[in-house]
Amino acid sequence: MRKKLTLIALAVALLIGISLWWQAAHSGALVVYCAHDAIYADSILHDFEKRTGIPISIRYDTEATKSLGLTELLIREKDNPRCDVFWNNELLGMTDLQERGILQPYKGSGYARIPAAFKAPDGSWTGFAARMRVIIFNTQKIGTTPPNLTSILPGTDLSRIGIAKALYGTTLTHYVVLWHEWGGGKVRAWHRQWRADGVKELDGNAAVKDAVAEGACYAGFVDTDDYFEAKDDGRPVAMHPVELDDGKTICIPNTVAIIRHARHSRAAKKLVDFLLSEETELALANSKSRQIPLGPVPEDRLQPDVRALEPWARKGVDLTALGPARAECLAWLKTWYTP
Amino acid sequence: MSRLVEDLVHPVTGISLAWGFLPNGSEPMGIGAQTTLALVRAIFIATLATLASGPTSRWLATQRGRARLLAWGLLVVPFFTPTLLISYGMVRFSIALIVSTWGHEALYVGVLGLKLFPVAVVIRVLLPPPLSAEGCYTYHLAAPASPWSQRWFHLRAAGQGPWIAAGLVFLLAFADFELASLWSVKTWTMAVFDAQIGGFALTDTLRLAAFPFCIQLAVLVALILSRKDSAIGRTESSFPSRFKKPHGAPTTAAVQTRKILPLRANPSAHEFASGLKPVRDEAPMAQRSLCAPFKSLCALCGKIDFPLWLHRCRAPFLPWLYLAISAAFVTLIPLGIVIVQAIPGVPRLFENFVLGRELGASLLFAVGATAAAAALVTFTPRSRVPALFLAAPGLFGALTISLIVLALFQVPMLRELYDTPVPLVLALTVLLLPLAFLLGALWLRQTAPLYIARQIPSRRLIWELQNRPRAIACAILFCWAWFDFTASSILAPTGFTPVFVRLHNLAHYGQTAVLSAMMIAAFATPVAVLLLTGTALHLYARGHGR
Repeated sequence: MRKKLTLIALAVALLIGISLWWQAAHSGALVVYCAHDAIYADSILHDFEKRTGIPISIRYDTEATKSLGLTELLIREKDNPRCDVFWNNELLGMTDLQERGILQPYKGSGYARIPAAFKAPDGSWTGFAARMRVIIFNTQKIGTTPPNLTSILPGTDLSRIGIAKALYGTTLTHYVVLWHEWGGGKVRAWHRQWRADGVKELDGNAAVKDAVAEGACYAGFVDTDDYFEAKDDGRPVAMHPVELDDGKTICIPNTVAIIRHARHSRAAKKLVDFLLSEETELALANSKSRQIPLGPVPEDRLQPDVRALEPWARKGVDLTALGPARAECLAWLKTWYTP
Repeated sequence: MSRLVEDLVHPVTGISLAWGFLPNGSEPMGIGAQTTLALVRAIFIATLATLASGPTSRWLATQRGRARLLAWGLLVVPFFTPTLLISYGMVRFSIALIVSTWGHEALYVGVLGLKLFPVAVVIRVLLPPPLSAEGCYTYHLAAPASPWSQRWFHLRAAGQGPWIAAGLVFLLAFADFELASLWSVKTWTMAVFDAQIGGFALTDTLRLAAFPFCIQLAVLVALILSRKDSAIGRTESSFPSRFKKPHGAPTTAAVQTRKILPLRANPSAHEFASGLKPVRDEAPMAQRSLCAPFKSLCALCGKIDFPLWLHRCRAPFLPWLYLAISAAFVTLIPLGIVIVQAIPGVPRLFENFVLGRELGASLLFAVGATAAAAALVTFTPRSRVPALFLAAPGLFGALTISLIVLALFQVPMLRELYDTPVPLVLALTVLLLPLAFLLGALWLRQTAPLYIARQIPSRRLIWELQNRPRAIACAILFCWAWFDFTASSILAPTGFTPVFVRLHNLAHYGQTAVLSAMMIAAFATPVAVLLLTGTALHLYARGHGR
């Protein structure tokens, strides 16, 4: 018995030792929560690490819970934050964090170059490198004319139309925009009708893109980066931006913010300025995801796909005023998905 | 647009709506409905696995030498195949089935069933019927006329094995999360995950999981109660002594009897563990036939006189066919697809190898959890009750356990350990314990040869009889921890992501050569680690052996 107790005590001591060592070893690293795709964000963040010598510890979100998982985690950690910088892949979650007082305002050199429509007036968060919400469709299945999915009549079989679960990511933003434009009642009725008509609800935008690219679904809602992946793979797909009733589009920027009481605020400011720089926006624009720069960049350094998107992006609906719509829409979606 | 509308008119939706369990979409599917759906699936899988596991376990006992090794290998390989590999390899197939609710459901249930069937077989091997085949045969000779008496007899004669096998398979199928999340299947674990990610307070999330948790708890309590000695005693004592199997391992008498009676006794755990070879006799039709599962069903229903067509139905190759199809469908085909795709991606991966940190993280967590689980199994008293109480929580599934551990490390006293490897190692250990105790029951038994080896003492013999089985058990646990995704995605500390969480995210971008190469690297690493460790241990044993 004594031997067993000794072993247990040793094991507990070992665990505590490992934990203390772990915390000491990682105390100097800048903690970044990143909801943007790791495949694109990794190179940017590691480039910053190389240039500045500031070590970075990154926590990515899982693909299926893009953005919402980390937003909720930050809310839970509000009293004891671990994160220094939050790189979100959408905007509405940031406004929620701003309202909760979780973000530390910062207006650096990066903030100055971004247009006012894409940043918080107090500097709590700043947008950069946007994507657009688009309809992707399989040209072998339905030709090259873009389908108008928003005007489909009730009762039409939608089993070949894909959409990601609305609880997360940019599909949530899409819903919030509709909630703002149409009102909650119409969105609820539309959502119910589409489910009744058999629309395929998939885990994320990437799954929708795969389903359309493979021809299992004929059309679906995704973001521009998903579409370009399918296109680069040589799949028979085309896209058209989602247009609202008034002709506006949905342009969703990445956003970055410093967390209040961040342990590494100086390093955090450096990273925020780096992410908002022209160089980072160009890197993201010329990556496979073709993200649209929000600040001024030399046009000749952009690839044609991005230049073609810019007029659509300029017609983007103002997302900064959608905080209340987001709260209402998300509350309803939560009751829908976890009743 | 008109073409789109034409194409959209598809019969699939109507068919899918016909199945009452599946949602028609116009109303949200509550946690109750999702639990019912998972319940129906789990009962279906558990029933099929239990019915088929009896004949399969008996057939396995007839295999010898390399055939035996191959049969066991083919049997268990689907269980140890990571769900990510299956999902990634079958991505095009599963996408093609997206539009068919039935097809999608069938794929999920089929793969889950194939993955869990080995559990039922191993349990049936470990817990053979208390009644020997000879006793059963004798009973048939003097069987009472009443079909109800016969039915009751067969239910008791089957012993605890089928019930425990069914219970375990049920628990594992009911608590599945990884495969369900990869294929967007509606089940209660997905609803709980959505609630957790969607910002419910942890207590609310766990409250949501209360109903399914109660179901699991009820099954678990039933399993624990059925494993008490009293239950065994009641079952055995209720048979007349002439029908009872002699205590202990299959006796010489039993083996000799098989020469006389054209029936095969079920192998015991001891026989399985020690490789005791019963006398090979003429192939009994009942065990090798195509219809063995049907015969099991007939027997359990009290129908002793099988129809003539069932007797004539002989197909000794069918178990092999099943094993080959199962292993090919769940493991070999997805693995083959990934390997073929990975070939052009390997050079590019090595040009810029980005997985080193993730592989290191996985290694640390897997080694830590394996060591903890192995130590707990070794130091737990040989009594069943503490073992069952330690192993039981792991059967609630990775999602529930991870959420509970997350809640545990939110309390002020443990908060300092929150963003460290401790929560994940703890969760993995809890998840490994059921398998660890199962392997312990198989391989950590005190046998007479081992006792003699210790008396000699021969390090090489001890290696062969004791340490090698332990090393294999640890290797299996290590792989199980290595391939975890759910607990890792919830509990991994910042900046130290295990490789499968990373790959899971990347897999959403579809199949690419580099990603396939990454998959191969993730699968090859544990194999390399185990090969190196195994070789080192083997050389150590040989170098010091007598």
